[in-house]
Formats: sequence, structure tokens, C-alpha cells
Amino acid sequence: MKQLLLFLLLASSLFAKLNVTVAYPYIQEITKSIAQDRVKITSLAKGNWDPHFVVPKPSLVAYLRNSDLLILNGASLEIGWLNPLVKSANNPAIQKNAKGYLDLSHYIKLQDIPKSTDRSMGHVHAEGNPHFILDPHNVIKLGKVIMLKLALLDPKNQTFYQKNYAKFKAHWQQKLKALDKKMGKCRGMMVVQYHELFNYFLRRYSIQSIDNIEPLAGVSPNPKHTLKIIQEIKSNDVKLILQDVYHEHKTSKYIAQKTGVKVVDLPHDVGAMRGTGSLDKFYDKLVGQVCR
Amino acid sequence: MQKIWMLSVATATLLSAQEIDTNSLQEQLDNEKVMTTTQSGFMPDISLIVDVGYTKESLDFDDEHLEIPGLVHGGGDMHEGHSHTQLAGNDGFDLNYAELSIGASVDNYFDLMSVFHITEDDIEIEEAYATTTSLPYHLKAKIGKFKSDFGYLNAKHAHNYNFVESPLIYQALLGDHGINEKGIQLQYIIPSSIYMMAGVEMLRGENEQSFGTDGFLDVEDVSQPSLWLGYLKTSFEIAEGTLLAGVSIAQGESRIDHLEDEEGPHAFAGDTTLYGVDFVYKRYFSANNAITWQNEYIYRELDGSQYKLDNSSILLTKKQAGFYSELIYQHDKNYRAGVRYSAITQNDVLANGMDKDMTDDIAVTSAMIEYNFSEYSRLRLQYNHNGSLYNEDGIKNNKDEILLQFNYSIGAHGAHSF
Repeated sequence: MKQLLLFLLLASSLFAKLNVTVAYPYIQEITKSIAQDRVKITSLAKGNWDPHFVVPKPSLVAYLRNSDLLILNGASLEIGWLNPLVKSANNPAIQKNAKGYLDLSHYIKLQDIPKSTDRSMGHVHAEGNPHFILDPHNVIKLGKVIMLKLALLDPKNQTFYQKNYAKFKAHWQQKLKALDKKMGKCRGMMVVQYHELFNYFLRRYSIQSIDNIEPLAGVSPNPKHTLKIIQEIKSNDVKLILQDVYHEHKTSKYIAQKTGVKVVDLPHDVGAMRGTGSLDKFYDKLVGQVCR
Repeated sequence: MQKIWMLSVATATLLSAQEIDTNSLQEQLDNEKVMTTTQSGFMPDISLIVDVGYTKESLDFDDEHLEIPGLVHGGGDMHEGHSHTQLAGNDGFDLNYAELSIGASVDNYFDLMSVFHITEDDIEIEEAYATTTSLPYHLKAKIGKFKSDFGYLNAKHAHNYNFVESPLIYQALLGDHGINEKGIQLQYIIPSSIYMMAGVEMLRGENEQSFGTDGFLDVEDVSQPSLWLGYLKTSFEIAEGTLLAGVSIAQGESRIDHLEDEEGPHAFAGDTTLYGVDFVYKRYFSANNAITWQNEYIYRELDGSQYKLDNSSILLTKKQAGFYSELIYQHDKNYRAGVRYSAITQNDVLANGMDKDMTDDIAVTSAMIEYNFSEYSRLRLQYNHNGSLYNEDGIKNNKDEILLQFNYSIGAHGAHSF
């Protein structure tokens, strides 16, 4: 009888799946590649939402309550919404700096770190630009970090996670070569973007963003600044206006009309627009839209 | 016996093997870390909000003595040494308030939050509490002075309201500060696939409109803790939007002392129960385009004795209820507009069993439009048609007012909840 009980206990601990909650769909995709069906994954935000302003729905608390691991982008991208949810989940496992709390931004070399911060500069992040997922070269590193965290929390599946990570790494090494090759012919191109959302991508491929449609981070466009952009486009060889899915499209359309420069919609996360359902497709779309 | 020995040795070896593994994994993970800019180490989050207003009001007829019958009387109540928004006579520019908040983690067991409500010549500790971060069983406790989670609006700060002031039903039953008390709170997230939270609070019960603690004449102080609360909240997705709904109850002893009033001094001692129902529905069409429909209904039953200065008393029972409903449309990042209707639906006051025939024709209608320059600064224009005021002869005195409100926030102010 005792042995049966012991066996059942052991068995249930073997089959208990780790509950993982992630902030954004791209984290869900990477985690899924490493853990496959051995963990239960929920993403709090959807890919077509503004990542800065996710609605802190209490229904999301229900997921966080039962989570063993919370993986977030970090660098203050979630500053406007995640903290009250985590606090009200009454779950010590995923509180800041607890074992089940993984802030991905701590593992990436951030860019655009401001020398000083002041609100008159708009919505700047003191830690640096948080949109590092736009550089496909960060994917392997993120996969490794997530693999290590999963292995730490769920040692019985450690070899499984390591094996999947090895496959993931091999796949992305190939994929990066293909992406880099495609982007090669667009080096030195000049563009204008709406928000400093694509900087990591643009820098990776030596594309020059000469200005942003919003005058300051998080501040809506104004006529004076829009006219300045039109002038800048006319006096430089700007090829594209990069528009994201969640900001208004009126201003970029107006600028396009005045300058004849094309507007392209770019995804900022997996699922941001049609044809970006996986991590591979997300980068394919990004590359395809910018460099045809 | 031997079997058990062998098993335990095997387990121990397995566990220690895992231990080593875990250590090396943690080391590997730490090695992946990139050192970024050093954050200002032990600096707590500090923020300051400043709220400036301009009011232009007009009444049907001039009268200094206005009241909301059976609910609020006397213009410009003084309490704890500071004056509150008067029922009338607020024309001109005013510094509504400044709110200073300071918060940080205490250690790995507690977070500390404090909010100072500052008016021109007074500073009050509006909130100062610790919350637990590591209680087991999905529990969380709050200790100190805090805004109760009764209803929906009660826990919110004034800068987070959709209108300049709290709705009529809150002002009438709970005053300007709502249930803002010293005590403890315990909340539990119920295991379920949908959000369900149950909470209880044990409080001092000093609210000047419905509770109060200090005795008067021959009436003794209330026994502590005097005010008990309980509530249940749930939230789920419905029609592509999110619904947050709750029921609340608050029960406590009352000592409401108006013996120093110039006209008709009186005081009340007894028991009061509040029942609240709230539901908020929000639907987002995009990140900055949304509608919010917010509703609360509160019922109050007050039962006890009313005293006069000569210590004579009569039995007094009040059964009063009211609600507010507000609809807010957020057009984009900058513009929001909304309307609110708040009314008293029941106003039964019984003195020695005799119905005093109080009017329940009491309502306020408001409309507002706001422009948000950024997340940190806002200009709001509001119009109120206030049909809640009566003179001493029971004649209604309508008040129309235009309010302009400037609200600024600096520093690190935590994100707001739903």
C-alpha cells in the first residue's frame, strides 16, 4: 500500500506540467520550441497590441495565480501594466526576483541607453530601448536563457530541454544566414519610422533611420514635426516609411502622399499582422517588407 | 526495513545529484547576464501629483444653508482641522490637492506604500501600509492605513477618477475620502479558471458619514475593531470586452457627533450596514480607443438613537440607497469624454417609527471632456447639473457648475489597476 502511494506521488510529480506565463507572443514561441508540450504556456498580450499599453484585465490574474514561471521582456516595456497584475496574483513564486521570475532584458546588451532621462524627452526608458526582439540575432541567446531557466525549475526534463535547444540553435544559425543574406542588398538604405520600435533591426542591417514620425517617444505627431519630416524626406534619399500596426496610420499616409515615399506595415511581434504566426514567419515578414 | 533504507539512500543520491546540477545551471544562467546601466539602487518610487481647478457655479437662488436631505447637512464641514469642498460657494481658482506617494519593497516579505494627501494648509497620511509578497495559499495581507476595497471606486485615488469629484452616492454615504481606515485586510484568490477574489477587512471605523468611533454625552466609545468588511469580486470576458463585478458588505458601529453644530445640534449612536454591488465593463477597440461603462449601487441601513444636547433621545432608522452610472469614451491617446448620472433612489428616515417623508428627488448629472497632453498631464472640462441641494425649508436649489481641472504628475508612479 505504502509503495503504491509512493509510486503515485512520484508519478504525479513526474507528470505535473510547469505552468509558464509570458508577457508577449514571441516569448511564447521561443518557450514552445524549447519545452514543446512539457509545459503549459499562456501569453498575456496579443501580438497586434501596443506592447506598452496592455489592458491589465483581472482575468489575466487567474493565469498568474497558477504560474510557476513568469517570463517578461523587461527594460520597462511592461511598466504600464504588468506590476499590478503580478502583485494581485498572490503568488510568491513569480514575484520580482523570485525563482520563477525571468526578465529577458537582463541577458541582452541594450541599445539607446539615454545619458540622462527627463520626461520632457518623452516616454524614454532609462534602461535603454526595450524592443530588442526586432534583432533576429538575439533569438538564440533568448532561447538559451529560457532553456536554462526551464531546466532549473523542472530538472527532470532537463535533457529534453537541452536537446530541443540544440535543435533550436542549429535551426536559427541557418535561418540567420538566410536572413542576413536577404538583407545584404539593403545596407545603407534610409528610412523614417513612427516610434523607435525597429532600431535593433535597422542597426543590425545598417539601415539608417533619419527621424521618427512621433516628435518624442510616446507623444502624438504634430503638424510642425510632420512638415519637418516631409522636408527631411525630400532632401534625403529616403526609401520607406516604416509603420507599425498599433499606431494611427493617418500621419504616415499623409507624408507618403506629400513625398511619394512608400509606407510599409511592419510587425513588431509574432502575430502582429497576417502571415506572422511563427517566429520564422515574423522575421521573414519583417525582412520581406523592408528589403524586397 | 531494508527496502526503505535502500530507497532513502537512492533518493538522497538522486537529490544531491540534482542539487549540483541546479547549482551549475544557475551559474550558467548568471553567466549569460549582461550588465546594463546601474539602477538607482535603494531609491524608492516617488511621485507627486498636483491638481488645480477653476469653478464657476450658479444657484437658482442665493442661500447659505444648503443640505442633501437626510444625508449631508451644513455647508463647509470642518473635520480633523481641515475644510472640505462645500456644497456651494467654491467659485474661482483653487489648488484642489497635491498627492505625494512613496513606495518600495521593504524586504522579500513586504512592500511598503505611502500616500500623502496635501492641501494648502494641511498634510494628511491618506495611506501608509505594508502588503505581504510571500504568503502561501494565494493569500495577501495589508496592514496599516489604506483605502478599502469596498466597491469599485473606493480604492482609487482622486486623480484616477473619470470626473473631478466622486459620485453623489459616495459623497452622501461615505464623504470625500470614502472608506479610508486603519486596520488589516486579507485577500484570497480563489482557485478557478476565471478570476475570483474574496477579501475581508477589519478596520477602526472612523468614517464620518456612516461610522465613527468616539462616544458623546453618556454614550461610550465603540469597541474596537468596529468596522468589518467582506467582498467577492470576479472578472471575465464577455462580448469581446471585460467585465469586473463585485458584491461588498460593510458593517460597524456608528458614533456620528454633530453636537457642536450651530443649528439643531444632534448626534447619532447605533449600527450601520452598507451593501454594495458594482460592475465595470471595458471594451478596447484598439490600444487607445475604448469604452468603459462603470456602475455602482450602495444601500445603507442605519439603526440606533439620535441624541440632543440635553441627552434626550429618539429611535432613528435610515434606509437609503443610490447609484451612479458612467459611460466613458476614449477616442485616442489624447481625447476622452464621458457622462455620469448619480441619484438617490431611496431615502426613508424613520424617527420613533414615524416616516419623516424625506424626498428622494436627489440627483446629479455630469458631462466631461478631457485632453491628455501625455500620460502625465491632463486638462478636463466638466459640467455638473446638481439637483441634490435643498434649503432648510425643503425647497430645491439647483446648482449648475462648470469645472476646469488641470492634473500633473511627476516621478515614478506605479501603473494603475483595471
